[in-house]
Amino acid sequence: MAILEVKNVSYYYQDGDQKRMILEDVNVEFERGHFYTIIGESGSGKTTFLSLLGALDKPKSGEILFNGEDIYKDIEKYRQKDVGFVFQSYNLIPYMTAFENIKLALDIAHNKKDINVKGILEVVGIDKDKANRVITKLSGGEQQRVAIARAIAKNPTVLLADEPTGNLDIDTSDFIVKIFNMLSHKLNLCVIMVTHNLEIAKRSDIIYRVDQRKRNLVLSHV
Amino acid sequence: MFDQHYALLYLKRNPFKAIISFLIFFVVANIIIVITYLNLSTNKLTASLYDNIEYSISFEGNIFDTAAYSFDHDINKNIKEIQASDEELLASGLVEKIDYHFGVDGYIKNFFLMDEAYPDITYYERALVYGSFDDVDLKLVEGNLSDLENGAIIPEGAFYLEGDERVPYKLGDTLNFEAPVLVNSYFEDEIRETTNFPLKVVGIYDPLENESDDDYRFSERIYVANEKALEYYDLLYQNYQKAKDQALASDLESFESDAKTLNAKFYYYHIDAKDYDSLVELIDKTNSLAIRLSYKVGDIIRNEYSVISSLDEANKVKNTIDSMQLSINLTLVLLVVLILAGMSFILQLFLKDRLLEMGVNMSLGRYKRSLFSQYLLENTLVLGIAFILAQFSAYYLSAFFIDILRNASNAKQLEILESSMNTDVAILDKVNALLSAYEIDFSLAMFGLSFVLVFVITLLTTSLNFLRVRRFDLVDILKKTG
Repeated sequence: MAILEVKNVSYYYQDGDQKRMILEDVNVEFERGHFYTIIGESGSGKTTFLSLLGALDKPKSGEILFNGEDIYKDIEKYRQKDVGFVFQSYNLIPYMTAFENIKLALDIAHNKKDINVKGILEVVGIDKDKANRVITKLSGGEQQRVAIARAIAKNPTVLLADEPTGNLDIDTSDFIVKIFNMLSHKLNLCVIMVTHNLEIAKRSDIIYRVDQRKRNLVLSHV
Repeated sequence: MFDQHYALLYLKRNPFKAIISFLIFFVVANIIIVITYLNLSTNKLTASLYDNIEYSISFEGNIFDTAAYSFDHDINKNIKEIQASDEELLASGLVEKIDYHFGVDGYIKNFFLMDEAYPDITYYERALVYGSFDDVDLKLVEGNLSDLENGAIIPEGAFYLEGDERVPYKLGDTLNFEAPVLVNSYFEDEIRETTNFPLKVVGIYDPLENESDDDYRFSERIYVANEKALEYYDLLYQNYQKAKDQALASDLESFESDAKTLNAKFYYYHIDAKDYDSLVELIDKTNSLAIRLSYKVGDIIRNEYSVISSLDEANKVKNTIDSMQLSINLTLVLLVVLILAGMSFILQLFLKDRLLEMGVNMSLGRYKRSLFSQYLLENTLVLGIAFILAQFSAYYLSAFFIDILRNASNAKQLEILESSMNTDVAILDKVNALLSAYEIDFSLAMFGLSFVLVFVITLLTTSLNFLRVRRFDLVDILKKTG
């Protein structure tokens, strides 16, 4: 059963008087326990699509349903509990430590459970010493691991990742893809990753391609 | 609520920004408190100055009756001189009863005073007299008051000034002359002092018949028009402990009749000006500008007529205060605007620096009100410390500025006071009161008020900046690339 349903979604940028259509009448479904990748050329709208899934932006028409409910109905609750987001540029708060960044996400989600933040950090390869460093003292790869830890700490149903390996070396990229596979297959998450790296995409379960001409998602590989 | 935890964390991890914010708030709080102190202080100054004006202007006369004045002193140097009609005297409570009899020099009125007044003043009562000086022959023309009021011109030659200048005058005209004042020849030591007498033609000179050389001083009368004078006789007592003689006819029958006439016309006016408008109103009522009389006539009557201020002087004082207050108030408004703009700008820079942080928070599902509460808390924490410290520094800063103001205005005030009076304990008290008006009173209400003001500014600037940030595109903030 689909956890995330995209129904007739269209999106355009307003450029003066003109509309620049990015996505037109997109219909697609995502299920738990699968690792999806979305590929496409630069500017094709794949990141825009991911932003819509993460409720960072709103479609001009159509709807996106999570568990059958409009994600914009209670946007904060959706962002707090149901979806985790990993950005290409990590987007961690620079004056906080790795530990505090994750704690912030849990505080915002009002997560009262006794979650072992340092344990989660260790899972993504951040030891206790690094966990207590401020973000600016960590490498890019380490920051991305912290970002993933932050996204999964609150135990979301959907994990969205926007070019998470874009700035990383091969080993780290490989590690992150392994984590995403583990999250989807062992923890039953719905992982959706945007990438332009076809090799990485091939390691996912399902690949969608953004067809720039059709302005739509096309199933590319299962 | 975890807002306060993250507010403290931000301040702890960003000490430089916290210090800059602190300095901004500190300066702002200082400016606001100092300006408030200055404003309060100048308000007190205004009140005090109007008290001073009240005193300065309290004698207004357009009659000059030196001769009668000195005459009383000749009889008894210690008498308490009273200027009033009989009815006024009785009403004042100073006089128990009055009876009349004819004496050697004319009609004598005996006053029986109450205990607190001087006993048994023998009072030579004549018509309201106009003094002559040994060196100045100054007389107004015989005539009819109603003629003058109707614009009749006093004929040439009727008014003689020193230098034999003969000028026709009409009612309301003013003139000045410098003259040596000879109070009278009955004093053991003649006191002469050159004084500038601004005078105004106020009435008709009416020499009595059969005047002799001996009592020429008392045989002249001036009728002046002022219907309001009697309304203020009680104030007269309050402000002038000494008296002046009152017009009296040469016999009982005519006295009684003249007294009514003279009382109605007698001009002796006190202005009780609590503020500028009432001052102007009262000066208007007198139908003439105040004149300045400055005497030094022995110990007894020193300052009797000394403190007289003109409307011009009152205007000067008022303008000085007004301009001072206006400039302070304008400065206050300008400062508040500048502070708002400055704080807004700087906080905006800080917020801009925190856009990513805001975007991340929002992408994690944080409510905007929670974020706003954190930022407000941060600012308020810094503000609170800055404000408390500013209380001390602003106090001393205010004292410093007020000292400058005090020195500047003291000179002006003393100049005004000294120009219109001689040394007098009562006036020195006034001056001291004036100076003490600059003292800073710590007021809890003011403390609270200024805190609220500073807090409102913080709230406004934080809100304004937050509103601007709200319009930003979350996707842009997170620097997504499509």
